[in-house]
Amino acid sequence: MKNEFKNNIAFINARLIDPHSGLDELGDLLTEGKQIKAIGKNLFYDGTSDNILKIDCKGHVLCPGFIDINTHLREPGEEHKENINTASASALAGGITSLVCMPDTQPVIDQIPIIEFIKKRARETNGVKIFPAASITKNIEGKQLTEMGLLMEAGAILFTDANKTIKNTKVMKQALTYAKNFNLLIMVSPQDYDLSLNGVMNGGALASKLGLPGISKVAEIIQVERDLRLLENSGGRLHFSNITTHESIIAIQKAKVSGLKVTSSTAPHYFTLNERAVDEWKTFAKVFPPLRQENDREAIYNALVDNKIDIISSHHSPQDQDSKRLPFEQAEFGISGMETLLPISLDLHFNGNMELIDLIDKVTNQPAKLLNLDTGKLKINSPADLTIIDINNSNKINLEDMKSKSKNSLFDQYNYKGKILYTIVDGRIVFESSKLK
Amino acid sequence: MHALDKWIKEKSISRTQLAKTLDISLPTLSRYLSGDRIPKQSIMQKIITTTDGNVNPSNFYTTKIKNIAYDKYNQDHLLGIEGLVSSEITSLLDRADDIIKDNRIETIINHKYKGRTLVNLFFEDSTRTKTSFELAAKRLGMDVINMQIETSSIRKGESLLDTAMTLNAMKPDILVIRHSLSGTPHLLANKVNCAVINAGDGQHEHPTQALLDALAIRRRKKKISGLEIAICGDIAHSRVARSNIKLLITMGAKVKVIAPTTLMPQGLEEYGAKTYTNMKEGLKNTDIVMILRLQHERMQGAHIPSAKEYFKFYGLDRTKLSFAKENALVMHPGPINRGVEIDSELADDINRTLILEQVELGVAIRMSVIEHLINNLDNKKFDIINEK
Repeated sequence: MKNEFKNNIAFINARLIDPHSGLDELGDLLTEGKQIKAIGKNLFYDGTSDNILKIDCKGHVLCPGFIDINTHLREPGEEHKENINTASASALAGGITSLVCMPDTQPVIDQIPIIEFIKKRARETNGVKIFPAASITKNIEGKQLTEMGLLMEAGAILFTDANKTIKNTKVMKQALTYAKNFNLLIMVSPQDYDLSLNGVMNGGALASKLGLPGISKVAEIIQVERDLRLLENSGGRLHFSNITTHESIIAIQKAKVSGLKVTSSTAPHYFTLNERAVDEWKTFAKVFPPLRQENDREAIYNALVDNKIDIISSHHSPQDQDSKRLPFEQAEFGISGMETLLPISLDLHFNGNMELIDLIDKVTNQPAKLLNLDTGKLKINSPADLTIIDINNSNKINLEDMKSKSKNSLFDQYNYKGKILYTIVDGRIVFESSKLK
Repeated sequence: MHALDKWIKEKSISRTQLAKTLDISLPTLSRYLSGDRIPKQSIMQKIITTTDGNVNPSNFYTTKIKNIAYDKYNQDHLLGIEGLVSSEITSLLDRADDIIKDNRIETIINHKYKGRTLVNLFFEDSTRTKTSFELAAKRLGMDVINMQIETSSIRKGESLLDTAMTLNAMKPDILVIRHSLSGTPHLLANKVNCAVINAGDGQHEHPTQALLDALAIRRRKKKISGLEIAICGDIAHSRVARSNIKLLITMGAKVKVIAPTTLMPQGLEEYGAKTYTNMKEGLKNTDIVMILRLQHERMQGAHIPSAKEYFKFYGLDRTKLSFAKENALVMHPGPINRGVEIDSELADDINRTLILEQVELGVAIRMSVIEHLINNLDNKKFDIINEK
């Protein structure tokens, strides 16, 4: 990075979008060191001094860097799929400046040394900001609670058993109740254990046709409803990730209205694709929870537009070829998602009547609010975590160009609009696409 | 292009005319053709009859259109009944009929395919299917290799695709595969140069079983179209049921599926089958009763309370058979659980059951399939030589 030693960057002629303050207008932005120094119109009408790097944004969008609350980095334990270096490169190429990594690594992030390890690796990588999530139960077994308080002090940003749900209702109740002591955030990817056991795709006619064991959508709804009941009883903060069904949205919305501290998120594939992407045992379309039917896909899409789902996360789940080139039932779940987060989500703006600022809200301000982070906003003295986007650039997604170590994306050769031009973390340019040069 | 569109073009009628015949609106038809919607059972039935089985339910689930020759079976593999049209099925059945005629006069070993190789790759136990393929290939003069999975490299951790590639490098002509996971033969077919025959994959398909069942029906009843055929038993976990439903509907039969709700998969109605939970209602006016095997592990608790209760309500005995037509015939793909899905004495009644005949016809059907696939393989090679 040749610009590493420049202390200040002047961004001029930018369309500044900041969902936190509601700002959406042309202007300039100045960073100094790691922070945002000034925001406004014609900041540099009398020119900039020579020792300032000047970037002419040419009217493109300058907004806070994205915060991805649900990613699997595969390190430690499965470095053949992804490691923190490749994940960081992938995130930055996707405009993501902060991410939360899931604890389902090997070993599981359930002890302080593992949190320390992740933090150390993040420092070494010096790219995307990594906030580790710790598991709710030891070794993600759903039995004994982890040392939540100590883990929080060590740096765990939230608590989740990743893709697994806590089968034992009593343990889940205890987790929510205990987390309240420290005002911790609990995140669940809701899926009833027994109803989803052995299932590999959405339950229904297509699963019958392909001869595959299905996961009925009821598995998700039941779990959402169970955990909402528990939350009502215990108080505390709960986040549902990977929401895929219409009924879950209704249940969560009702709980929100009644005053519960509950939020939800989904991933781009759930509002872009339906179960028919599985086609004839296409293992790239094997994700957990599974892609649902068209009416649910549409419901998720509309819920984002209507602001009933708070956050979009990539649910980045890289899998190497050998984990996918298998009979469907044996293949691993997951798609690599960080680099396609923005281009796929932009469809909500171009075809779904969603204001750009509202869309960006779901990947910046909302996750920052959920995690109590002082980033995700254009605010003086806040960290200069930024991204510049050419939202009208049409292109084709090409798996070969992906920076993630595993290129298991469902969106190969997908036509999209929206390109990340620059990504800035703590006032440092950490990604720039060759396009603007 | 959608298969239905292709058919419209071939018959040179308009979409409007077709919509009228099917008694639906033009926008509805357009939605079927664009794949936004799947026709419901009654309309699906109409589409199948209108097109003589040249368009069938599977066409509405995939946008892929394969090259169909309307007079013969022209595919590179036999992976499933899914997507086959009636003329393809008929050509496979017709050839099997001819083979039976030859065989019954005298057993001549036909040296037609001397030096050709068939590999039996069975990842699941099988008696009749494996033997049947072996016999069929040997009658055609082929060399047969039975892969012993227990002793092969698979046990040493070799991946399925690597095993297939190794076998492929030995240049067999036919690879017969049975596997406990759905879609495995399709995965292999993409990787190898030989013809792949699906001998049963997970809960997906078992095409040669469905073909031999169809042959048995056609030989006894002289037709398939218009017959009322009931399939009873564990439909949810049965690949035989799936292949049979697809084949019989494509051939114009009226298919009724009878099973307790816990053994009934979702979405059968969309395939053009009618579902029943009561044997008396379902068997009414039936020409053929197909009984499926109930796996031991499903008899206790999770799917049905007990074998005893199952036999009482769903096991076929003479009383239940009397609800069907007087001359109704009973079929079973075997092996039989006597006293669970079928009454023991009824199973042995050769006047009412086709069970042993099914096994016998299996060899002929497999010979027919092998012949077709080798011919197609040779034609393809010939085409490549010509192009050069």
